[in-house]
Amino acid sequence: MRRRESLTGLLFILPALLVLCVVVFYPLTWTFWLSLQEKILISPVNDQFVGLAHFQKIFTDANLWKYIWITLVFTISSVAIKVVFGMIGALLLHQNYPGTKVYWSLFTIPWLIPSVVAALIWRWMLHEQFGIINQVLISIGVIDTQIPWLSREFLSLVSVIVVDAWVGLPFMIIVCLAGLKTIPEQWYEAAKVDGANSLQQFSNITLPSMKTILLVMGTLSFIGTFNSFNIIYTMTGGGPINATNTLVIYIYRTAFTQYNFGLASALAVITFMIISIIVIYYRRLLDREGEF
Amino acid sequence: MKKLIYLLFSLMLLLLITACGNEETASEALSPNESKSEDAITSDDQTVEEVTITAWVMGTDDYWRSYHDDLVERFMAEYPHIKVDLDYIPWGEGENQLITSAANKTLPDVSTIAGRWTAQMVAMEVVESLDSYFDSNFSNEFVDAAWNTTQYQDETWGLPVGFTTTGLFYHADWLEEAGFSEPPTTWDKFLEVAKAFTNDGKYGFGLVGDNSMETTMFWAPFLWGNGGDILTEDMSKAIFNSPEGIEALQFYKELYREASPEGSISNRRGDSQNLFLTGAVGMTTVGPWFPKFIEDDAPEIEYGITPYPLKKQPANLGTADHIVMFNTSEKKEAAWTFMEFFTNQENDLKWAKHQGFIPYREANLNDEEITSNEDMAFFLNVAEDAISYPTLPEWPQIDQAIADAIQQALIGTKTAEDALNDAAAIVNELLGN
Amino acid sequence: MKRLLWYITITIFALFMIFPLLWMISTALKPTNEIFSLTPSFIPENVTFQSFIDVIKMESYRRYLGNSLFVAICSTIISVLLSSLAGYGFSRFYFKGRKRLLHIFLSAQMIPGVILLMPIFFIMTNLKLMDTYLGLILAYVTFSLPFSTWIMTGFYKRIPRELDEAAMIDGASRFKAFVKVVLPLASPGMVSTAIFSFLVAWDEFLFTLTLTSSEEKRTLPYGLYSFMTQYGVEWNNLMAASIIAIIPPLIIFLFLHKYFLRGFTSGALKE
Repeated sequence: MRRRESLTGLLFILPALLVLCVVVFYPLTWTFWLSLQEKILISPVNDQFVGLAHFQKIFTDANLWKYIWITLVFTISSVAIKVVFGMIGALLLHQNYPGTKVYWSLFTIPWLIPSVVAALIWRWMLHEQFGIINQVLISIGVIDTQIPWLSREFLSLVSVIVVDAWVGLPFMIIVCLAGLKTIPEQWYEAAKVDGANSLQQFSNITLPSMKTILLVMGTLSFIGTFNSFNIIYTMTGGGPINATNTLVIYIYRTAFTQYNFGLASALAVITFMIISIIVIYYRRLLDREGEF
Repeated sequence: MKKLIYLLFSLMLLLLITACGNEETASEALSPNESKSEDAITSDDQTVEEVTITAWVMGTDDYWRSYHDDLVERFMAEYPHIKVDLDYIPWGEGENQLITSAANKTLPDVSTIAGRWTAQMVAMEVVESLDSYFDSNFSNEFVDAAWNTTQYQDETWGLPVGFTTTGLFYHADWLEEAGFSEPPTTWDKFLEVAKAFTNDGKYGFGLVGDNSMETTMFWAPFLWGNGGDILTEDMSKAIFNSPEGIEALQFYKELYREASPEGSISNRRGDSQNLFLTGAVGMTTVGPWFPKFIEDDAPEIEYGITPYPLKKQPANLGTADHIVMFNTSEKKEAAWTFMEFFTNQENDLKWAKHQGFIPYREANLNDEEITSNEDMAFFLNVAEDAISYPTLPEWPQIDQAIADAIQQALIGTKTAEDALNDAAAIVNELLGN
Repeated sequence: MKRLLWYITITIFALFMIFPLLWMISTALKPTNEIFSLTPSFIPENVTFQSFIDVIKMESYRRYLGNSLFVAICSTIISVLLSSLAGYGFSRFYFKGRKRLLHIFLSAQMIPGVILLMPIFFIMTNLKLMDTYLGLILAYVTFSLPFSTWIMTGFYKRIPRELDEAAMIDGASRFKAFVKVVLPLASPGMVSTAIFSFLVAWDEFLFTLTLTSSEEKRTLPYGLYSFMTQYGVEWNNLMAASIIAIIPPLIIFLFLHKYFLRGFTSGALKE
């Protein structure tokens, strides 16, 4: 009987599992296999098994560490902005003043813009000569000459971080707000009776109650940002001189501008390892919080 | 739940609208062809078997679309038994799309292609050699400079469909105001003028420095003008890091530092053209299509065109686009008919007038309208100094290595010499030495 | 005083969030000759709807829109269907390795698309799914499936098991009990997964870039990206096209955001 039960259960899961196998797990094993091959699309005659040669090449190449570093800076900064400002936005919206609803929709609408479009608009706004941002900053006196936002190495990294955060912020706000709404009002009232000020209320009630949500969302957002492709590809394409070349962009460029699928797959395997570490951490987190 | 139904309904409606829209235009596009083919069957005794060929055209803007839509329509009117399925691919994704399609064998029958990609595709063994399709006189009808770009390892791999040279555009009134009587002809003069233009948020030269092949396009004429070259004659070794090359890059860097917007690092040709049109830069180098843009977008500009300023010898970049047939095609006959039509004398002239490209057919070089047009005449004249990129499969990667080197030198992470030497090492490895 | 401070802060925040959108609208309403200006102004001198008309008239644009709608709706339906089934399996049956399998599902969500891109490219080629709707739909379903399954699992867990058991005692089969009793109760969860899946498919760029070659199959993100031509960008048209592209998700969101929030908070996050 029990056996039959679990079989029925598996039957419900099977269709989804099948699709995932075809499009995720099977290709994943293929990536591992490809990483051991010489496979360059533009010279198909050279296809052959090369073992770990690609990995050897990658690890002796100083650039890998630079791109890992860029990826981490990009991801951590963007996630930090999203979490901090997501929380601030949610706290601001968690009020009952007239007009809150309007603000709520203003905060969430950007979420509906396709990320390619968002990146294009920002690229346009950040243009040195035609961009509105330089125009505004000059007219309010913050800067006195036009700044080429996407042409300096450091600035362009900052720009893509801010834009990525902008794109991800609405969702973070929505979730944080939903989390805030689950905290019972009585707790705050009780705290007020005990004479706690707003800061104490925040650190003693709000923050502990939000801990799980923030951790889960932070990790999820970390993975999402780590995998971010559309924004950087559209805004800078990884440039100038690889200043915004994250691992994902690096893999894409290796595969689709050098057409070196073997090398790109080896990079993909390394990236997969890094992601796996994060996922394992995330799983521990969920287990500890008793999600399942 | 009610809301859900409304929602589904409105989505369906939206879907329906777009679907109808497509169908309508699709049938519109079809109808002249259909009626024609009926004519063909009734008037001719022998019925010809209908074939459909697929064709890709690189370029997604209105100018390119309207011209090629019309061309295909005229072709199908003339050859009712051949139907052409036309697709537009963005230039930026074109190389990518061709190579990935070659790898998974989903190439169309014919495609237009940038001349600099042709050899690479030939090396992938997917391009049809065309020599058996035409007789010996055929090649004489084409302008040599354009025709030569289709030759690789003594075979013909494509037909020219577009040929351009480049010149230096300048704001004539700026020049006058700055007290110059004539446009710059030498590097020193060029820098002097460019510096004179640079003040008050305006710049002398609209330079291109993004990490793409357009940067190489901008810089290469300076290299050639200084007596340098990209590769040795037998294409076995990089020589762009010669003293001439280093000097040319240093000059380019000086132009950038002294007389170009700092944002040029992320500018492409389109950006520098817009900067010119809005009067943010005084000079930029563009091809022959540009006068039409000026006329459309900024007719008030007083502009002049002059050859690339030179150091040792005159030089400018000549580029050709090709139309090629892929050897995976199962309708080679029809494909060739289409290619022949695409590049015939009439269409060459039409394209030249439509887009401002210079003719690649000898017979059109003396066309009244073209020779009497001052701008056109200019681009025709500089054709004799036009240098094309070497034709070899590794070119796109060489191109990229040079563009990267230029960018590094411009930003200053490497000196011009180091940047070019490093790039030369990459190129030499690509070339197998 | 506190209220004033609140209004000031939230207005500044909102302005930052909404500014690009305003600039988008402003650009779309400008005629071409105002677009490239060295002193860009926020309010167009001559307001024109020409770019909207131009864009709607573009056959290729209507096709991108139609393709995106079709692909997104199809992958949404499939994703909701599969995740409703799988979620039920995960929440009701305690078989061996259940937890591990759910973990595997979830980790599928976290693998960057670019890692799978090259093999998928070959697989789609072998299955003759390059440049087809089916290929895109299949890919997009997997992007939303793991997370959707997770949401649904959480949802079913909140529906008492006694309900299906009661139905089964009344003589309904397992499947019937699921369809007739459990599924209707889980509909808010299905709505959240639907919105999630739709937005994922609507936004996707990398795979449409690689898996489509003809204009006939190109979806919106690629279509909009191709507004950047070799001669630069017609910003007013691009912005008009983008604004129209926001409308479908906006409609969905306006109608369904309540379901979505409820579904998301109860499914994905513990209350």
